[in-house]
Amino acid sequence: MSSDETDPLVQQVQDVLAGEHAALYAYSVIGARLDPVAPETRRAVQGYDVHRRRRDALVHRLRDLGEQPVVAEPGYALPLPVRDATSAAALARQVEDRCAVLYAALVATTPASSPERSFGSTGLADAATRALGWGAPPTAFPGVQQA
Amino acid sequence: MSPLSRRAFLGVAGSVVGAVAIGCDGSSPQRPGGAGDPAVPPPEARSEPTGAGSPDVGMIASAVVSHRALQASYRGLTRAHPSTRPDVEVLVDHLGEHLSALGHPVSPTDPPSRTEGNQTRALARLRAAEATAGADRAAASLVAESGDLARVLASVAACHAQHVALLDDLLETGR
Repeated sequence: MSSDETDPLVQQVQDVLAGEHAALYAYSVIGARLDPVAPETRRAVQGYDVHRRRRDALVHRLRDLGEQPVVAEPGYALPLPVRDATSAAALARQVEDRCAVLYAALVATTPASSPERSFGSTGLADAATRALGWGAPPTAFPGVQQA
Repeated sequence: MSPLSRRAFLGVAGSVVGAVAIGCDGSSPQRPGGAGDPAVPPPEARSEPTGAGSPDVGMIASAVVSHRALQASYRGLTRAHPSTRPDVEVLVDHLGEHLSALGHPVSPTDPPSRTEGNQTRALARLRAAEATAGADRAAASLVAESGDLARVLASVAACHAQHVALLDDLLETGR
């Protein structure tokens, strides 16, 4: 299996893992910009913890598949400057939106009844509700662009 | 392994719902919505991409039935408790978008459900129904043969999860 360099399932899992690395970086910036006693800080800590657990699960899964998991970059260019609680929440919404897209793609790429598809479905719903918590409006198709 | 870049994280391409609807609907043109549109479509109308007898066909039909029941419940809620309309309008719109994407535009002829009890109880029942629908769509997404359909069902399930969270907020604030 590991000799199949273009296995789309493995590639998609790697893509999601890369996204989770970036999400963790973003959440560390978000947490650093929030007042320690602000209510958003608890939300940021919870978000960081969830994404860390997801990253770890993806790393384990890739190793089980005999693949080398992608590693985190030393740093990431954030899509917007984080200066205060408002911009921190805006970044968190973007992070969750992008994660929703990655998890939706994982669902579409993986075979029926595979653990990866289940992981993707759960990750998508989690990202959708987490984005809501950061003030995003609800959408009909989280993780899927609308025509 | 390709290194992660800003582009890789922020530039991931999403799929388009329109393409998904085509994937579910095969080559047949979209059915006209309106009176007489049956709640459960004839299987042959949806069997193109996944083959006759595919469980995917039943999943779509099941989602359509569930969505219509939810819509009727929301209509019953807003008729009995008109002040809830601004809060739940967007949720009802989502259900309509789902039905369109699944090839079954809204049928306005479905009567509103009878809504008993006070507003809080009615909202709590809707919350439970949304949660059940989300669990059902998520379960279907795991076993769908078509990857595109699996993605749409998982996305619909995620939307139900958002609805549950919003209804929780409404119940909490007592609006």
